[in-house]
Amino acid sequence: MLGDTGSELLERAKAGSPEALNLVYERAAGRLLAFIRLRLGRDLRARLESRDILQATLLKSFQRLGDLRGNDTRSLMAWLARIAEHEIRDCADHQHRQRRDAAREVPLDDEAPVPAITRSALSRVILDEEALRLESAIDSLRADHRDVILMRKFEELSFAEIAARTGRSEDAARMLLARAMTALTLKLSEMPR
Amino acid sequence: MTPATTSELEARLARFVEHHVLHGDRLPLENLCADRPELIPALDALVRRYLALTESLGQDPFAATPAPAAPPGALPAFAGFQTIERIGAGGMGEVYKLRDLTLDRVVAAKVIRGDRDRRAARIDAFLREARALALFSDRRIVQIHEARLDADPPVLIMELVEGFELGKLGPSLDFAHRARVLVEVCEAVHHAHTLGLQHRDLKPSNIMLDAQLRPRILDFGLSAGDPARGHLVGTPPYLAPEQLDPARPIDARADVYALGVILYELLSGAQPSGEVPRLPVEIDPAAPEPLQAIALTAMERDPARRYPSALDMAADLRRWLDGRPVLARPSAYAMTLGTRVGPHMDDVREWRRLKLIYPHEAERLESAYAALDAREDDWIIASRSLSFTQIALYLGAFLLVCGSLFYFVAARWFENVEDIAQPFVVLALPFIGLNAAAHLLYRRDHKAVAVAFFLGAVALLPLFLLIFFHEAQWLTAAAGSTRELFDAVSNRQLQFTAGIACAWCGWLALRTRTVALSTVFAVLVLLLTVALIADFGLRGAIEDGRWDLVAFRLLPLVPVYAALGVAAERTARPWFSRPQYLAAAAAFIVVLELLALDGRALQHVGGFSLAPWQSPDVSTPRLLDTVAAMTVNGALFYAAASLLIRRGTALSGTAAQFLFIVAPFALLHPLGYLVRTGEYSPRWDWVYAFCALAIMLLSQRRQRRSFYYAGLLNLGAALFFIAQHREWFDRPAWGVAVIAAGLLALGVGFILDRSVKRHS
Repeated sequence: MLGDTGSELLERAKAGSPEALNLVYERAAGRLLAFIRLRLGRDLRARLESRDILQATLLKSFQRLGDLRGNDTRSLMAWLARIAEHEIRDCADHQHRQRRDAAREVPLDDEAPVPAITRSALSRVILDEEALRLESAIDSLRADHRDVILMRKFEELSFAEIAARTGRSEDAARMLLARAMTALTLKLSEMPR
Repeated sequence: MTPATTSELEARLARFVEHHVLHGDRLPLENLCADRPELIPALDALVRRYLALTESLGQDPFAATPAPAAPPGALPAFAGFQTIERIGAGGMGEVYKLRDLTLDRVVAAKVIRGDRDRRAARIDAFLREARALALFSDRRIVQIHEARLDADPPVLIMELVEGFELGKLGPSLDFAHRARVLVEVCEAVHHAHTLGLQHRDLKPSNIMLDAQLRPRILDFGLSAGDPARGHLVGTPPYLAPEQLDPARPIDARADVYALGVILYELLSGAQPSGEVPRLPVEIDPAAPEPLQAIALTAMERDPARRYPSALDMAADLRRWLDGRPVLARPSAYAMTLGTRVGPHMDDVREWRRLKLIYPHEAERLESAYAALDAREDDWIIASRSLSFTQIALYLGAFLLVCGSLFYFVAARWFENVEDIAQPFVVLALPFIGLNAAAHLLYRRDHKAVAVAFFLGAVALLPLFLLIFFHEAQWLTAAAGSTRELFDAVSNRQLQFTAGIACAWCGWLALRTRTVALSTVFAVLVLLLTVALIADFGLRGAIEDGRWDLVAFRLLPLVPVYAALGVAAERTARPWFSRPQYLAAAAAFIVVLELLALDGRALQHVGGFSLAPWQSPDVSTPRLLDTVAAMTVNGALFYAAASLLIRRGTALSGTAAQFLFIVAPFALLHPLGYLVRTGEYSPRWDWVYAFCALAIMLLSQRRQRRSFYYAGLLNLGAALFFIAQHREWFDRPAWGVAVIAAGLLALGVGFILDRSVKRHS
């Protein structure tokens, strides 16, 4: 069972196996949380609760499980990362609005009942020291370096997609990633272990 | 490494990464460093880091991964058991799930990992764990069924605990639940301690929660009871400081430390780091402060400041669960506050330098911050604010004392008490009752109430003892003795009474750490000293009006109080020290003033007298001497206060402030004394008035309010004497003149205000 691949798991989850779904979430939660925190960056992380976003992401993905095409070329992880990306944008907008209109109290997340499955995944996800080191190293990179790493390594976009999103040529996107990875390696080697 | 080398290295890494990203293959390092072969090792380290990074960043949690590294070879087999699967690996062994074929139940088996040689080295620890587990009869410690040390590999058959590790499940429990789990862990650990064994490797991953969320403690592999051995093994963040220092003994409090770290982690979700770790409340604002205090108390670096046992920690956690105040007082609070008060003090000094605030405002802020630094226990601060409970309790204690006194008076002087209880019995009852109730309340944490009762009991004790001595006719004075201070009570009785009361009150003051009892102690010390010096003819001196002799006899009070204050301060008992310093200052003032009042002060100290210069018309003997000595006193008080402020500590500062307040009065009142006697020229009353005015004006320079008030009061007195000596009371002109002077002062104030405004 431990050797199951994402698509097999997903098939079983869609077929209604709570165990498979649970496994999906448990495996995804750690990396997803790391992505969410990185994507938020230091500023937003202070204002938004990354675990709330993780919860909302898992909840949305649970509702949209049916939409996911069985043989999506990209990995399940990338799909989840994209849902998280939207969720962050919504929350940040919401925050922004709220800050402009502080008098109006709007509850951040609706009181949708959280399925027991996502809750157990939530309760177990923890970031180890290594992940936190990586996080602070990525945090300290230049914004374009950070973005390209997130797009390529977490959202698993192709270089063509990255090029389209950042308004660069494909080769320039590759070079940017190379430079970003170099900077990250150096940053990590500077940090005390 | 030089900066040049660093940039060379970075350029080469960049080329490697670039090539890897664009073409997907790795450039050989020899090619990259063809010109600088000495860079290869450093570059190799960077490249490895990069490759590890790409792997960890690119890893897909859903990618088909081989099942977690299966142990080489087949699962081990044990006679009578069927091996189901491997469920974990610890520091020195592996854990398997087995089915017991005879009893048909599932158990856990811990085996030693490694080859035969390594096993031999580990078998001792293995045996130790087996024996430790066999000792325990606590359901919260995992049970051992069997130890097969001659099997291959050696194996411990244990109860199988299925559930979650505390570390993983903890964050999803509410705080009360986390506390309840930890109470059980503490009690189970205490059970091990009572059997003489310490776990020494407590951590969240060694505590499993079963389906009912009941904790089970695992892995007693490092457990030991020997204080001198077992240093430097365990898991770093949970290791107590003494476990890292082979010179220090390890006892049960090392486990208390680990329990504290576990609680810290349960509260904050993070592991503590650094000398002064961040407060859990700063990391998770929802964490309850009392639990944080418990965690930090258990994590004290000095074992003596931790909970003495895991059971005490459990009791404190239960207090919080029951909604009662906890006993934990971590020194980390003071340290954290200390490190944060410093920058504020610097700010205040900076504001003062920039003239944003006035010096007296700066002083007030600084003293407020300094008070924060030397903070007393919370419950003492709480008991200072008056609540109806407190008012009722103090009133009760006060009425008890009053009632006992009335009863005594009725019995002693009016002889209205016949065949009823003897007065000392009536006093003994409230005394014993108050003490018993106070001890009980103190132990049950109703400390504020307990202190009120102790105060009542302490006030009753001398009365009770004196009446007891009197009625029992013990230690009575020898007939015809002239040294007795009082008629009804002998010196000996007084000394014994004061001595016993002093000792009792001192002990209570040190135990309860209260200012109130320390103050009563200071009063009792006065009583004791007076009782002791009564033997040296105090009464005779008073009857002869020899105030100088009385003063000399009271002089020892000053060093006694000062010594008590210094001793208390040196032993970090500020609540005890401050009242003693104040008493020393008060004694100093009383002794000097008594000496001056007599008029022989100058004779005693300097060997001279102003009497020859005194006009023979003056009827008061040594009037000039008295006035001069009083004036010298005022200067002495001021000098002593300045010296204390400059050289003394924050605690003696209160005494210095007291002297500062008294000093201007002491400087002015000799003139008032002279004027009041009406001797010498009547013009002295004008001098008196001018001096008072001068002191008032002086107050502006040093911003001392006490000078201003002293001047004001004495000016009033001077105006009275002026009218009295000249019999101007019936003259309306005198009143009009004073009114005119007042209007003049108002006018001056008005003009000054205008000119100051015009300048600015």
